[in-house]
Amino acid sequence: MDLLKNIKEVPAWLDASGEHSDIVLSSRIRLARNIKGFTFSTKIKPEEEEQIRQEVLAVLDREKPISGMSRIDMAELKPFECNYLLEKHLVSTDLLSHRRNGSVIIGDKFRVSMMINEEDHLRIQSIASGFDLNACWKKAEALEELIGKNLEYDFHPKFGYLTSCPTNTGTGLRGSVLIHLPGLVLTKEIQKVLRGISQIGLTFRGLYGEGSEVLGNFFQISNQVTIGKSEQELIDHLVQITGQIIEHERNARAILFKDAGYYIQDKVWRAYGILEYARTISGEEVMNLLSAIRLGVSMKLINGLSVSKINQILIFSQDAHLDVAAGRSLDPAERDINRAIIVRSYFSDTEKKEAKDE
Amino acid sequence: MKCEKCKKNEAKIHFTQIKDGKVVSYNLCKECAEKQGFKAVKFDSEQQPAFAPETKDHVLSELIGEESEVTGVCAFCHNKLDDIKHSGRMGCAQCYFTFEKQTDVLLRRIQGSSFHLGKHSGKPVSERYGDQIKIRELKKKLNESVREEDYEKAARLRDEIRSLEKRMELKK
Repeated sequence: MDLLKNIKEVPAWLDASGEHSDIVLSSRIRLARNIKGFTFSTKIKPEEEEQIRQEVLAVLDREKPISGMSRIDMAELKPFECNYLLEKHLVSTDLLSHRRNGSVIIGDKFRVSMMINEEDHLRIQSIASGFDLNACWKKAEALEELIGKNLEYDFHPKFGYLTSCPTNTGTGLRGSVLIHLPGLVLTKEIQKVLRGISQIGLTFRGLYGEGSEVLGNFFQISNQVTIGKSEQELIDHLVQITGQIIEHERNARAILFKDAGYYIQDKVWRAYGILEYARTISGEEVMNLLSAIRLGVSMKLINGLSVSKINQILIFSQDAHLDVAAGRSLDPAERDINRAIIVRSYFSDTEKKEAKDE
Repeated sequence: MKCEKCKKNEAKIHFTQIKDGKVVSYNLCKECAEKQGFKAVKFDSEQQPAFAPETKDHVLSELIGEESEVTGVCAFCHNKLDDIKHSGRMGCAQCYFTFEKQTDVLLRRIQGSSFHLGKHSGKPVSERYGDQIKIRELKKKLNESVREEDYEKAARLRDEIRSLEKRMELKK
Protein backbone atom coordinates (compact mmCIF):
# COMPACT_ATOMS: atom_id res chain seq x y z
CA MET A 1 0.00 0.00 0.00
CA ASP A 2 3.05 2.26 -0.15
CA LEU A 3 1.82 2.91 -3.67
CA LEU A 4 -0.90 5.10 -2.31
CA LYS A 5 1.56 7.25 -0.40
CA ASN A 6 3.14 8.28 -3.70
CA ILE A 7 -0.02 9.87 -4.95
CA LYS A 8 1.90 12.70 -6.56
CA GLU A 9 3.56 10.19 -8.85
CA VAL A 10 2.41 10.82 -12.38
CA PRO A 11 1.65 7.79 -14.52
CA ALA A 12 4.01 7.73 -17.47
CA TRP A 13 1.16 7.33 -19.90
CA LEU A 14 -0.16 10.78 -19.01
CA ASP A 15 2.98 12.54 -20.23
CA ALA A 16 1.50 13.17 -23.68
CA SER A 17 4.70 12.04 -25.33
CA GLY A 18 3.09 9.84 -27.94
CA GLU A 19 1.88 10.70 -31.40
CA HIS A 20 -1.38 12.63 -31.81
CA SER A 21 -1.45 13.03 -28.04
CA ASP A 22 -3.48 16.21 -28.32
CA ILE A 23 -6.37 14.10 -29.57
CA VAL A 24 -5.62 10.61 -28.28
CA LEU A 25 -4.99 10.62 -24.55
CA SER A 26 -3.80 7.03 -24.28
CA SER A 27 -3.82 3.62 -25.90
CA ARG A 28 -4.41 0.36 -24.08
CA ILE A 29 -4.15 -3.36 -24.78
CA ARG A 30 -5.74 -5.87 -22.45
CA LEU A 31 -5.34 -9.65 -22.63
CA ALA A 32 -7.61 -12.02 -20.74
CA ARG A 33 -6.39 -15.45 -19.71
CA ASN A 34 -7.48 -18.24 -17.38
CA ILE A 35 -5.23 -20.75 -15.70
CA LYS A 36 -5.78 -24.42 -16.44
CA GLY A 37 -7.21 -26.52 -13.65
CA PHE A 38 -9.39 -23.89 -11.99
CA THR A 39 -13.02 -22.90 -12.43
CA PHE A 40 -13.85 -19.51 -13.87
CA SER A 41 -14.79 -16.47 -11.80
CA THR A 42 -18.53 -17.19 -11.50
CA LYS A 43 -17.95 -20.50 -9.77
CA ILE A 44 -14.51 -20.15 -8.29
CA LYS A 45 -13.88 -20.79 -4.59
CA PRO A 46 -11.73 -18.48 -2.42
CA GLU A 47 -9.09 -21.20 -1.91
CA GLU A 48 -8.71 -21.51 -5.68
CA GLU A 49 -8.38 -17.73 -6.04
CA GLU A 50 -5.70 -17.70 -3.38
CA GLN A 51 -3.85 -20.49 -5.13
CA ILE A 52 -3.97 -18.67 -8.45
CA ARG A 53 -2.65 -15.52 -6.82
CA GLN A 54 0.22 -17.41 -5.21
CA GLU A 55 1.17 -19.15 -8.44
CA VAL A 56 1.14 -15.96 -10.50
CA LEU A 57 3.10 -14.01 -7.88
CA ALA A 58 5.65 -16.82 -7.71
CA VAL A 59 6.27 -16.51 -11.44
CA LEU A 60 6.57 -12.71 -11.24
CA ASP A 61 8.93 -12.86 -8.27
CA ARG A 62 11.11 -15.40 -10.00
CA GLU A 63 11.23 -13.86 -13.48
CA LYS A 64 10.84 -10.18 -12.53
CA PRO A 65 9.45 -9.08 -15.89
CA ILE A 66 7.93 -5.85 -14.57
CA SER A 67 10.10 -2.96 -13.41
CA GLY A 68 9.17 -1.22 -10.19
CA MET A 69 6.53 -3.79 -9.41
CA SER A 70 3.98 -3.26 -6.63
CA ARG A 71 1.21 -5.52 -5.50
CA ILE A 72 -2.14 -4.42 -4.09
CA ASP A 73 -4.78 -6.73 -2.67
CA MET A 74 -8.32 -5.44 -2.98
CA ALA A 75 -9.35 -6.81 0.39
CA GLU A 76 -7.01 -4.41 2.17
CA LEU A 77 -8.27 -1.23 0.53
CA LYS A 78 -10.85 1.23 1.72
CA PRO A 79 -13.60 2.10 -0.81
CA PHE A 80 -12.08 5.46 -1.75
CA GLU A 81 -8.68 3.82 -2.22
CA CYS A 82 -10.34 1.34 -4.61
CA ASN A 83 -11.84 4.21 -6.59
CA TYR A 84 -8.42 5.83 -6.68
CA LEU A 85 -7.06 2.85 -8.60
CA LEU A 86 -10.03 3.02 -10.91
CA GLU A 87 -9.36 6.69 -11.65
CA LYS A 88 -5.78 5.84 -12.52
CA HIS A 89 -7.11 3.30 -15.04
CA LEU A 90 -5.32 0.50 -13.22
CA VAL A 91 -8.35 -1.60 -12.33
CA SER A 92 -11.84 -2.17 -13.61
CA THR A 93 -15.15 -1.68 -11.83
CA ASP A 94 -15.55 -5.47 -11.91
CA LEU A 95 -12.47 -5.97 -9.77
CA LEU A 96 -13.72 -3.48 -7.24
CA SER A 97 -17.31 -4.58 -6.92
CA HIS A 98 -17.06 -8.34 -7.02
CA ARG A 99 -13.61 -9.53 -6.23
CA ARG A 100 -12.66 -9.36 -2.60
CA ASN A 101 -9.95 -11.84 -3.49
CA GLY A 102 -8.69 -9.78 -6.36
CA SER A 103 -5.28 -8.22 -6.64
CA VAL A 104 -3.56 -5.92 -9.02
CA ILE A 105 0.10 -5.90 -9.91
CA ILE A 106 1.36 -2.52 -11.07
CA GLY A 107 4.66 -1.57 -12.58
CA ASP A 108 6.67 0.20 -15.23
CA LYS A 109 5.51 3.62 -13.98
CA PHE A 110 1.85 2.61 -14.10
CA ARG A 111 2.12 1.50 -17.71
CA VAL A 112 1.58 -2.15 -16.88
CA SER A 113 -1.13 -3.45 -14.63
CA MET A 114 -2.20 -7.00 -14.19
CA MET A 115 -5.45 -7.86 -12.46
CA ILE A 116 -5.67 -11.23 -10.76
CA ASN A 117 -9.05 -12.82 -10.04
CA GLU A 118 -11.22 -10.36 -11.90
CA GLU A 119 -13.73 -11.63 -14.47
CA ASP A 120 -10.91 -13.85 -15.69
CA HIS A 121 -8.03 -15.22 -13.64
CA LEU A 122 -5.56 -12.95 -15.34
CA ARG A 123 -6.05 -9.63 -17.10
CA ILE A 124 -2.83 -8.21 -18.44
CA GLN A 125 -2.96 -4.55 -19.35
CA SER A 126 -0.44 -2.25 -20.98
CA ILE A 127 -1.06 1.48 -21.40
CA ALA A 128 0.89 3.98 -23.49
CA SER A 129 0.69 7.72 -23.94
CA GLY A 130 -0.89 9.00 -27.13
CA PHE A 131 -1.67 6.80 -30.08
CA ASP A 132 0.58 3.73 -29.89
CA LEU A 133 -1.32 0.48 -29.73
CA ASN A 134 1.54 -1.57 -31.12
CA ALA A 135 3.86 -0.58 -28.29
CA CYS A 136 1.19 -1.70 -25.81
CA TRP A 137 0.74 -4.97 -27.67
CA LYS A 138 4.45 -5.74 -27.59
CA LYS A 139 4.56 -5.28 -23.83
CA ALA A 140 1.35 -7.17 -23.13
CA GLU A 141 2.35 -10.01 -25.42
CA ALA A 142 5.77 -10.36 -23.83
CA LEU A 143 4.26 -10.54 -20.37
CA GLU A 144 1.58 -13.00 -21.47
CA GLU A 145 4.18 -15.27 -23.08
CA LEU A 146 6.43 -15.21 -20.07
CA ILE A 147 3.65 -16.23 -17.72
CA GLY A 148 2.39 -18.73 -20.27
CA LYS A 149 5.75 -20.49 -20.22
CA ASN A 150 5.35 -21.07 -16.50
CA LEU A 151 1.60 -21.57 -16.10
CA GLU A 152 -0.69 -23.28 -18.57
CA TYR A 153 -3.58 -21.23 -19.96
CA ASP A 154 -7.03 -22.63 -20.75
CA PHE A 155 -7.10 -23.10 -24.51
CA HIS A 156 -9.45 -24.80 -27.01
CA PRO A 157 -8.18 -25.86 -30.46
CA LYS A 158 -11.04 -24.17 -32.20
CA PHE A 159 -12.22 -21.42 -29.84
CA GLY A 160 -8.77 -20.29 -28.78
CA TYR A 161 -8.10 -18.84 -25.33
CA LEU A 162 -11.05 -19.54 -23.08
CA THR A 163 -12.59 -16.77 -21.06
CA SER A 164 -15.39 -16.50 -18.54
CA CYS A 165 -17.47 -14.48 -20.95
CA PRO A 166 -17.80 -15.71 -24.56
CA THR A 167 -17.40 -12.14 -25.77
CA ASN A 168 -13.68 -12.37 -24.97
CA THR A 169 -12.94 -15.87 -26.25
CA GLY A 170 -10.31 -16.41 -28.92
CA THR A 171 -7.58 -13.86 -28.57
CA GLY A 172 -8.87 -12.48 -25.27
CA LEU A 173 -7.70 -9.15 -26.64
CA ARG A 174 -9.35 -5.81 -26.05
CA GLY A 175 -7.57 -2.87 -27.58
CA SER A 176 -8.79 0.64 -26.88
CA VAL A 177 -7.93 4.29 -27.30
CA LEU A 178 -9.04 7.21 -25.16
CA ILE A 179 -9.82 9.96 -27.59
CA HIS A 180 -10.91 13.58 -27.29
CA LEU A 181 -13.40 14.69 -29.95
CA PRO A 182 -14.72 18.18 -29.18
CA GLY A 183 -14.51 19.18 -32.83
CA LEU A 184 -16.84 16.43 -33.97
CA VAL A 185 -19.18 17.11 -31.07
CA LEU A 186 -19.36 20.85 -31.78
CA THR A 187 -19.86 20.36 -35.51
CA LYS A 188 -22.54 17.80 -34.65
CA GLU A 189 -20.89 15.07 -36.68
CA ILE A 190 -20.20 12.83 -33.69
CA GLN A 191 -23.39 10.79 -33.96
CA LYS A 192 -22.58 9.85 -37.52
CA VAL A 193 -19.04 8.84 -36.64
CA LEU A 194 -20.08 6.77 -33.61
CA ARG A 195 -22.83 5.03 -35.55
CA GLY A 196 -20.32 4.26 -38.25
CA ILE A 197 -17.82 2.64 -35.96
CA SER A 198 -20.42 0.45 -34.25
CA GLN A 199 -21.12 -1.08 -37.61
CA ILE A 200 -17.58 -2.24 -38.25
CA GLY A 201 -16.75 -4.24 -35.17
CA LEU A 202 -15.82 -1.39 -32.84
CA THR A 203 -17.56 -0.02 -29.79
CA PHE A 204 -17.33 3.20 -27.80
CA ARG A 205 -17.87 4.19 -24.18
CA GLY A 206 -17.41 7.13 -21.86
CA LEU A 207 -14.09 8.03 -20.32
CA TYR A 208 -14.11 5.50 -17.53
CA GLY A 209 -14.91 2.28 -19.32
CA GLU A 210 -17.98 0.12 -18.94
CA GLY A 211 -21.20 1.72 -17.81
CA SER A 212 -20.16 5.36 -17.66
CA GLU A 213 -21.62 8.36 -19.43
CA VAL A 214 -19.63 10.43 -21.87
CA LEU A 215 -18.06 13.38 -20.11
CA GLY A 216 -15.94 16.17 -21.49
CA ASN A 217 -16.07 14.91 -25.09
CA PHE A 218 -13.83 11.99 -24.19
CA PHE A 219 -14.56 8.61 -25.74
CA GLN A 220 -13.05 5.18 -25.40
CA ILE A 221 -13.04 3.26 -28.67
CA SER A 222 -12.31 -0.45 -28.60
CA ASN A 223 -12.67 -3.60 -30.65
CA GLN A 224 -15.78 -5.68 -30.14
CA VAL A 225 -14.67 -8.85 -31.84
CA THR A 226 -12.02 -11.06 -30.24
CA ILE A 227 -12.17 -14.19 -32.38
CA GLY A 228 -11.82 -14.96 -36.08
CA LYS A 229 -8.94 -12.57 -36.67
CA SER A 230 -5.35 -12.59 -35.55
CA GLU A 231 -4.25 -10.22 -32.80
CA GLN A 232 -2.34 -8.07 -35.26
CA GLU A 233 -5.35 -7.85 -37.58
CA LEU A 234 -7.58 -6.71 -34.72
CA ILE A 235 -5.05 -4.09 -33.69
CA ASP A 236 -4.43 -2.92 -37.26
CA HIS A 237 -8.17 -2.48 -37.74
CA LEU A 238 -8.47 -0.36 -34.62
CA VAL A 239 -5.40 1.66 -35.63
CA GLN A 240 -6.80 2.27 -39.08
CA ILE A 241 -10.23 3.42 -37.90
CA THR A 242 -8.80 5.55 -35.11
CA GLY A 243 -6.54 7.17 -37.68
CA GLN A 244 -9.57 8.09 -39.75
CA ILE A 245 -11.38 9.47 -36.72
CA ILE A 246 -8.34 11.58 -35.84
CA GLU A 247 -8.38 13.02 -39.35
CA HIS A 248 -12.11 13.77 -39.13
CA GLU A 249 -11.51 15.48 -35.79
CA ARG A 250 -8.68 17.61 -37.16
CA ASN A 251 -10.84 18.64 -40.09
CA ALA A 252 -13.70 19.52 -37.77
CA ARG A 253 -11.36 21.64 -35.64
CA ALA A 254 -10.03 23.43 -38.72
CA ILE A 255 -13.59 24.24 -39.80
CA LEU A 256 -14.45 25.50 -36.33
CA PHE A 257 -11.39 27.69 -36.24
CA LYS A 258 -12.18 29.16 -39.62
CA ASP A 259 -15.93 29.63 -39.29
CA ALA A 260 -16.40 30.10 -35.57
CA GLY A 261 -13.02 31.34 -34.40
CA TYR A 262 -14.31 33.86 -31.84
CA TYR A 263 -16.89 31.48 -30.45
CA ILE A 264 -14.18 28.88 -29.87
CA GLN A 265 -11.77 31.37 -28.39
CA ASP A 266 -14.46 32.59 -26.05
CA LYS A 267 -15.25 29.05 -24.91
CA VAL A 268 -11.59 28.31 -24.34
CA TRP A 269 -10.76 31.47 -22.42
CA ARG A 270 -13.88 31.38 -20.27
CA ALA A 271 -12.88 27.86 -19.28
CA TYR A 272 -9.37 29.07 -18.51
CA GLY A 273 -10.74 31.87 -16.37
CA ILE A 274 -13.01 29.64 -14.31
CA LEU A 275 -10.39 26.98 -13.76
CA GLU A 276 -7.84 29.54 -12.72
CA TYR A 277 -10.04 31.39 -10.24
CA ALA A 278 -12.91 29.21 -9.03
CA ARG A 279 -13.08 28.52 -5.32
CA THR A 280 -15.32 25.47 -5.54
CA ILE A 281 -15.88 23.29 -8.58
CA SER A 282 -17.46 19.93 -9.40
CA GLY A 283 -15.74 17.03 -11.13
CA GLU A 284 -18.13 17.24 -14.02
CA GLU A 285 -17.48 20.93 -14.58
CA VAL A 286 -13.72 20.35 -14.50
CA MET A 287 -14.05 17.64 -17.14
CA ASN A 288 -16.08 19.85 -19.43
CA LEU A 289 -13.86 22.90 -18.96
CA LEU A 290 -10.72 20.83 -19.47
CA SER A 291 -12.20 19.71 -22.75
CA ALA A 292 -12.27 23.31 -23.90
CA ILE A 293 -8.74 23.94 -22.57
CA ARG A 294 -7.43 20.88 -24.35
CA LEU A 295 -8.95 22.12 -27.57
CA GLY A 296 -7.43 25.52 -26.95
CA VAL A 297 -3.95 24.09 -26.48
CA SER A 298 -4.27 21.89 -29.53
CA MET A 299 -5.36 24.83 -31.66
CA LYS A 300 -2.49 26.89 -30.26
CA LEU A 301 -4.77 29.44 -28.65
CA ILE A 302 -3.20 28.94 -25.24
CA ASN A 303 0.52 28.90 -24.70
CA GLY A 304 2.36 27.86 -21.61
CA LEU A 305 0.01 25.04 -20.68
CA SER A 306 1.07 21.61 -21.92
CA VAL A 307 -1.16 18.72 -22.81
CA SER A 308 0.70 16.67 -20.26
CA LYS A 309 -0.33 19.11 -17.53
CA ILE A 310 -3.94 18.98 -18.67
CA ASN A 311 -3.81 15.19 -18.48
CA GLN A 312 -2.55 15.43 -14.93
CA ILE A 313 -5.28 17.81 -13.85
CA LEU A 314 -7.79 15.44 -15.41
CA ILE A 315 -6.69 12.58 -13.20
CA PHE A 316 -5.70 14.36 -10.02
CA SER A 317 -8.92 16.38 -9.79
CA GLN A 318 -11.00 13.21 -9.64
CA ASP A 319 -12.96 12.38 -6.48
CA ALA A 320 -10.92 9.54 -5.07
CA HIS A 321 -7.61 11.24 -5.80
CA LEU A 322 -8.78 14.12 -3.64
CA ASP A 323 -9.82 11.71 -0.91
CA VAL A 324 -6.45 9.97 -0.95
CA ALA A 325 -4.65 13.32 -0.89
CA ALA A 326 -6.66 14.28 2.19
CA GLY A 327 -6.20 10.84 3.73
CA ARG A 328 -9.90 10.25 4.21
CA SER A 329 -13.24 10.10 2.41
CA LEU A 330 -14.38 13.71 1.95
CA ASP A 331 -17.93 14.91 1.73
CA PRO A 332 -18.92 16.38 -1.66
CA ALA A 333 -18.72 20.03 -0.53
CA GLU A 334 -15.19 19.63 0.89
CA ARG A 335 -14.16 17.76 -2.19
CA ASP A 336 -15.31 20.51 -4.53
CA ILE A 337 -13.27 23.04 -2.55
CA ASN A 338 -10.17 20.85 -2.56
CA ARG A 339 -10.64 20.25 -6.24
CA ALA A 340 -10.66 23.96 -6.95
CA ILE A 341 -7.46 24.33 -4.92
CA ILE A 342 -5.67 21.57 -6.84
CA VAL A 343 -6.81 22.94 -10.19
CA ARG A 344 -5.70 26.50 -9.31
CA SER A 345 -2.29 25.20 -8.29
CA TYR A 346 -1.74 23.82 -11.77
CA PHE A 347 -2.72 27.14 -13.35
CA SER A 348 -0.76 29.42 -11.10
CA ASP A 349 2.57 28.15 -12.31
CA THR A 350 1.84 28.58 -16.00
CA GLU A 351 2.92 31.79 -17.69
CA LYS A 352 0.00 33.99 -18.52
CA LYS A 353 0.05 34.83 -22.15
CA GLU A 354 -3.32 36.50 -22.80
CA ALA A 355 -1.83 39.97 -23.15
CA LYS A 356 0.53 38.78 -25.87
CA ASP A 357 -2.31 37.02 -27.67
CA GLU A 358 -3.74 40.25 -29.09
CA MET B 1 -41.16 5.69 -20.01
CA LYS B 2 -42.95 2.69 -18.57
CA CYS B 3 -44.15 -0.25 -20.60
CA GLU B 4 -47.71 0.21 -21.83
CA LYS B 5 -48.64 -3.36 -21.08
CA CYS B 6 -47.28 -4.28 -17.68
CA LYS B 7 -46.75 -0.69 -16.56
CA LYS B 8 -43.85 -1.95 -14.43
CA ASN B 9 -40.69 -2.23 -16.52
CA GLU B 10 -38.97 0.41 -18.57
CA ALA B 11 -40.16 0.48 -22.19
CA LYS B 12 -37.14 -0.27 -24.29
CA ILE B 13 -38.87 -1.38 -27.47
CA HIS B 14 -40.71 1.18 -29.54
CA PHE B 15 -42.64 -0.20 -32.48
CA THR B 16 -44.60 1.56 -35.13
CA GLN B 17 -46.91 -0.56 -37.25
CA ILE B 18 -49.25 0.25 -40.07
CA LYS B 19 -52.34 -1.84 -39.41
CA ASP B 20 -55.51 -1.61 -41.48
CA GLY B 21 -54.42 1.73 -42.82
CA LYS B 22 -53.83 3.13 -39.34
CA VAL B 23 -50.51 3.89 -37.74
CA VAL B 24 -50.21 2.14 -34.41
CA SER B 25 -47.29 2.52 -32.06
CA TYR B 26 -46.29 0.43 -29.09
CA ASN B 27 -43.93 1.22 -26.25
CA LEU B 28 -43.14 -2.04 -24.53
CA CYS B 29 -40.55 -3.58 -22.26
CA LYS B 30 -38.50 -6.52 -23.48
CA GLU B 31 -40.65 -9.18 -21.81
CA CYS B 32 -44.01 -7.87 -23.03
CA ALA B 33 -42.60 -7.30 -26.52
CA GLU B 34 -41.47 -10.90 -26.69
CA LYS B 35 -44.86 -12.07 -25.47
CA GLN B 36 -46.47 -10.11 -28.29
CA GLY B 37 -44.16 -11.84 -30.69
CA PHE B 38 -41.77 -8.96 -31.35
CA LYS B 39 -38.11 -9.81 -31.21
CA ALA B 40 -35.74 -6.93 -30.52
CA VAL B 41 -33.58 -6.85 -33.62
CA LYS B 42 -31.53 -3.78 -32.90
CA PHE B 43 -30.42 -2.46 -29.59
CA ASP B 44 -29.18 0.99 -28.85
CA SER B 45 -25.47 0.65 -29.35
CA GLU B 46 -24.98 4.05 -27.82
CA GLN B 47 -26.33 2.99 -24.47
CA GLN B 48 -24.44 -0.16 -23.78
CA PRO B 49 -21.56 -2.25 -25.03
CA ALA B 50 -22.80 -4.51 -27.81
CA PHE B 51 -22.74 -7.79 -25.99
CA ALA B 52 -24.27 -6.96 -22.65
CA PRO B 53 -25.44 -10.03 -20.75
CA GLU B 54 -29.01 -9.00 -21.62
CA THR B 55 -28.37 -9.47 -25.34
CA LYS B 56 -26.36 -12.64 -24.89
CA ASP B 57 -29.10 -13.98 -22.68
CA HIS B 58 -31.57 -13.35 -25.45
CA VAL B 59 -29.41 -15.07 -28.04
CA LEU B 60 -28.57 -17.93 -25.72
CA SER B 61 -32.19 -18.59 -24.80
CA GLU B 62 -33.13 -18.56 -28.46
CA LEU B 63 -30.50 -21.14 -29.25
CA ILE B 64 -30.95 -23.27 -26.18
CA GLY B 65 -34.72 -23.15 -26.19
CA GLU B 66 -34.76 -25.03 -29.44
CA GLU B 67 -32.73 -27.93 -28.15
CA SER B 68 -34.68 -29.10 -25.16
CA GLU B 69 -33.14 -32.57 -25.14
CA VAL B 70 -29.73 -31.13 -24.31
CA THR B 71 -29.08 -32.05 -20.72
CA GLY B 72 -25.42 -32.53 -20.11
CA VAL B 73 -23.57 -31.29 -17.09
CA CYS B 74 -20.01 -30.06 -17.18
CA ALA B 75 -17.81 -32.70 -15.62
CA PHE B 76 -15.48 -30.21 -14.01
CA CYS B 77 -17.67 -27.45 -12.59
CA HIS B 78 -21.09 -29.13 -12.73
CA ASN B 79 -22.52 -26.26 -14.73
CA LYS B 80 -25.72 -26.87 -16.67
CA LEU B 81 -26.66 -25.12 -19.88
CA ASP B 82 -29.30 -23.25 -17.89
CA ASP B 83 -26.64 -21.75 -15.61
CA ILE B 84 -24.74 -20.47 -18.60
CA LYS B 85 -27.91 -19.05 -20.07
CA HIS B 86 -28.77 -17.14 -16.90
CA SER B 87 -25.38 -15.76 -16.12
CA GLY B 88 -24.12 -15.28 -19.68
CA ARG B 89 -20.85 -16.82 -18.46
CA MET B 90 -19.07 -20.11 -18.74
CA GLY B 91 -18.26 -21.96 -15.52
CA CYS B 92 -14.89 -23.31 -16.55
CA ALA B 93 -12.79 -24.34 -19.57
CA GLN B 94 -14.45 -27.74 -19.66
CA CYS B 95 -17.82 -26.08 -20.33
CA TYR B 96 -16.53 -25.05 -23.73
CA PHE B 97 -15.87 -28.72 -24.51
CA THR B 98 -19.03 -30.08 -22.91
CA PHE B 99 -21.29 -27.60 -24.70
CA GLU B 100 -19.13 -27.29 -27.78
CA LYS B 101 -21.95 -27.31 -30.30
CA GLN B 102 -23.95 -24.58 -28.57
CA THR B 103 -20.82 -22.51 -28.00
CA ASP B 104 -20.00 -22.77 -31.68
CA VAL B 105 -23.41 -21.41 -32.64
CA LEU B 106 -23.27 -18.73 -29.97
CA LEU B 107 -19.85 -17.45 -31.00
CA ARG B 108 -20.79 -17.34 -34.64
CA ARG B 109 -23.88 -15.34 -33.71
CA ILE B 110 -22.35 -12.79 -31.38
CA GLN B 111 -18.86 -12.52 -32.84
CA GLY B 112 -19.35 -13.59 -36.44
CA SER B 113 -16.84 -16.40 -36.09
CA SER B 114 -16.04 -19.31 -33.79
CA PHE B 115 -12.62 -19.96 -35.18
CA HIS B 116 -9.54 -18.63 -33.39
CA LEU B 117 -6.95 -17.45 -35.90
CA GLY B 118 -4.65 -15.75 -33.47
CA LYS B 119 -1.54 -16.97 -31.77
CA HIS B 120 -1.08 -19.83 -29.43
CA SER B 121 2.11 -19.62 -27.47
CA GLY B 122 3.82 -22.95 -27.54
CA LYS B 123 2.64 -24.06 -30.96
CA PRO B 124 2.99 -22.22 -34.25
CA VAL B 125 -0.27 -20.76 -35.53
CA SER B 126 -0.07 -22.40 -38.95
CA GLU B 127 -0.04 -25.88 -37.48
CA ARG B 128 -3.27 -25.35 -35.60
CA TYR B 129 -4.76 -23.31 -38.41
CA GLY B 130 -3.96 -25.96 -41.02
CA ASP B 131 -5.88 -28.73 -39.27
CA GLN B 132 -8.94 -26.58 -38.64
CA ILE B 133 -9.05 -25.45 -42.25
CA LYS B 134 -8.82 -29.05 -43.42
CA ILE B 135 -11.65 -30.12 -41.16
CA ARG B 136 -13.81 -27.28 -42.40
CA GLU B 137 -13.23 -28.26 -46.01
CA LEU B 138 -13.98 -31.90 -45.28
CA LYS B 139 -17.20 -30.98 -43.52
CA LYS B 140 -18.27 -28.96 -46.53
CA LYS B 141 -17.59 -31.93 -48.79
CA LEU B 142 -19.46 -34.20 -46.40
CA ASN B 143 -22.59 -32.06 -46.60
CA GLU B 144 -22.30 -32.03 -50.37
CA SER B 145 -22.06 -35.79 -50.60
CA VAL B 146 -25.04 -36.21 -48.30
CA ARG B 147 -27.03 -33.90 -50.54
CA GLU B 148 -25.92 -35.87 -53.59
CA GLU B 149 -26.85 -39.02 -51.67
CA ASP B 150 -23.36 -40.45 -52.06
CA TYR B 151 -23.42 -42.02 -48.63
CA GLU B 152 -20.28 -44.09 -49.12
CA LYS B 153 -18.25 -40.97 -49.75
CA ALA B 154 -19.93 -39.26 -46.82
CA ALA B 155 -18.96 -42.08 -44.50
CA ARG B 156 -15.33 -41.92 -45.66
CA LEU B 157 -15.23 -38.16 -45.13
CA ARG B 158 -16.79 -38.54 -41.71
CA ASP B 159 -14.08 -40.99 -40.67
CA GLU B 160 -11.39 -38.70 -42.01
CA ILE B 161 -12.81 -35.79 -40.02
CA ARG B 162 -12.97 -37.91 -36.89
CA SER B 163 -9.35 -39.00 -37.11
CA LEU B 164 -8.21 -35.41 -37.76
CA GLU B 165 -10.15 -34.18 -34.76
CA LYS B 166 -8.64 -36.90 -32.62
CA ARG B 167 -5.19 -35.96 -33.83
CA MET B 168 -5.87 -32.34 -32.86
CA GLU B 169 -7.01 -33.41 -29.40
CA LEU B 170 -3.70 -35.18 -28.87
CA LYS B 171 -1.67 -32.28 -30.21
CA LYS B 172 -3.09 -29.92 -27.60
